[in-house]
Amino acid sequence: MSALLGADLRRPSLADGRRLGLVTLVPVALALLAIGIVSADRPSEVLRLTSADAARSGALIGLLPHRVGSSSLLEVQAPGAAVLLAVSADGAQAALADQLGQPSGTLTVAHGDGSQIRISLPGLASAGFSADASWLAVLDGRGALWRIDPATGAGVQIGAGPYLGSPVPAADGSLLLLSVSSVEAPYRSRVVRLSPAGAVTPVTSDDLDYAAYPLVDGDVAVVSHASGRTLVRRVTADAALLLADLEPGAFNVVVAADGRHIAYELGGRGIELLDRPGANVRDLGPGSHPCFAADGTSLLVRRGLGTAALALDGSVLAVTQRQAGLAGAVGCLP
Amino acid sequence: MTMRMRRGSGSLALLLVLLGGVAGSALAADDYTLPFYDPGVTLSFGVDRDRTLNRQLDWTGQAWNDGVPHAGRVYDQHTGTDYPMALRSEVAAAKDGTVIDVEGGYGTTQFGSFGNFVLLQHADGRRTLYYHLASAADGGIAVVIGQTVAAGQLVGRSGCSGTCYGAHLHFEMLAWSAAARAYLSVDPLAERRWTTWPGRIAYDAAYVRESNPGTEVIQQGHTITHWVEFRNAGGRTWRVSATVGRVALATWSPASHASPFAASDWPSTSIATYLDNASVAPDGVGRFTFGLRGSTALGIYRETFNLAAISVRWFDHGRLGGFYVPIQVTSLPSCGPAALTHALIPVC
Repeated sequence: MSALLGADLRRPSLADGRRLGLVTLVPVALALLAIGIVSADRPSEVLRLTSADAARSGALIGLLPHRVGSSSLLEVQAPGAAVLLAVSADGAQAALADQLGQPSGTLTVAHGDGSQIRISLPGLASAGFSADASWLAVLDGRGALWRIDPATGAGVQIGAGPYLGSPVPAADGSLLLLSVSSVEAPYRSRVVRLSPAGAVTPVTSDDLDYAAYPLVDGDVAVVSHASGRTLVRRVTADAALLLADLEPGAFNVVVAADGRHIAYELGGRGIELLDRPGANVRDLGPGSHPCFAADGTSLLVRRGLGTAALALDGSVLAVTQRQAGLAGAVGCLP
Repeated sequence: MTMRMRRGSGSLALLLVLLGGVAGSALAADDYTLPFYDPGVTLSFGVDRDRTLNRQLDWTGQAWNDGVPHAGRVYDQHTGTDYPMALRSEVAAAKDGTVIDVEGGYGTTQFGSFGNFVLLQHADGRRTLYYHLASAADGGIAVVIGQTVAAGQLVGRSGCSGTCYGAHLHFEMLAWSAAARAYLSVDPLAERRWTTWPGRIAYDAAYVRESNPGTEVIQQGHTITHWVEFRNAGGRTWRVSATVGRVALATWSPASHASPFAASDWPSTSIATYLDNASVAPDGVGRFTFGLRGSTALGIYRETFNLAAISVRWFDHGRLGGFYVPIQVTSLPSCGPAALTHALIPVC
């Protein structure tokens, strides 16, 4: 049985009826983690909170959907410094980290009804929902890959890695991942595909890949670093075609699913958008962490503490004062 | 009187004895230098030589059956050596080599999966990696791909780009693995790749003696010869033949000023001389001989000097005892240095 199918979970979640106050249990769990009593091989604890539980403990997370063109934008009202990691394709769930990369990291899956699942995952780094939102791929601080059931919090480690970046679940149940030389200093990184059966297949033979995005025709767009430059290529079954050779200083590069639009940050200049064919580059103004909508017709950028949804001509479609994510967008970095 | 501060080395010697006891009798390979100049920088975490999750083997040989960090030693799965340092601190090549890759596009303190780095290829087949650097726009990258660099040469400045929770340099030494068909991390501390262990800064010197430790009295219009000796307290051999890193005695305070005492044997008005010896290994003593010409008005002066590794960096002047030469320009004939050893005012 495939581990990815989730039938052989190493650790069951807590019983549905078990509800423990965050005020008491989370600090204990964190303390145990800090002194190394709790194994870091598995999520050490799972908490289920109803909307009422969350409200009582001041941990309520509000999910506020907005319509932006043909996409759904989910604005997230979360306490503290929680960081949005991913939004499910149906816009009904959001994955958040209470803090990124820290030993006491906790993954929270917030549901539209106000309920939450909180899973302790040391060093929690990134997450991505499967296409049908039935499971969540999560990377921890040591680059290990976890499959988490967002409804119950049950989790199992399905890859030791180390992997980095945002895991990208595909419709067939496979995952696009970045296999790296190390989590802290990845000078070597390659895109691999992890099949539902657990087989790892290299997608590239590059020295340093930065990101991978599935394209609608089944190919993969790969952003890589080569000789000091940043390249974007379409990787097919038997070839790699150059889509763009970006100007020096480009980073956080994202590719729309149609492969025709590439957005990136450029130090000090905000967001740039490159159209193909033609290689026309447009300045979309300030912002960071661009992320294309699933249909590629708009993109989301961070501006200050909030976000702005932009049309491809740079016009502003929507602005939020809080962090937000586009439903079904994949591979966007936290 | 010239300041002749001798820096104590007792604590370092004790440290080496203690570390030697931990490490056994392995000989130091001693062919790399620490990748920074600041002698105050210390190790926060070294390489985990046991790649199994929740099992750690630190650079001293101590094993830990856990996954928690151990300050000064190791954290689980760590592939490099971490050295906390202030943002934009100087980062230096650990060995002569060629720049084979750089990334400088990320923000100096931008958190994320990837960060800025410099990657060097060395003639011994190994590579060294300098990670979390400041952005290129912020001066984080001081080299270009294809450039050759000398050990101790500035290659960049520190930052906190990538997966970084506080400004530090992640230094990684890589060796080719035929089995893995990839470069894999090795532990420079366990291999004792540094001259001293766990490390010694690349270019450092300590004052030893000079031809006249008192005031040099120079008859106006005449030239006298002065020499000074320094012990090589750094990790790199001083060489006079090197094109980059040639060690010279040059004017200081301000650096590279044109000296009014420059004699005809000076290579330039700011460089008094190069190293007399062909080479001086670590712990050896090198001599610098140069002329001083009384070209100024009569009076008492001082001329300050520092050592420099040409095109690499200045030495730490404080660690040279703040070296300077007191000079009196007089109308009287110069006296021999032996007669003036402790005299502030010449009598001849």
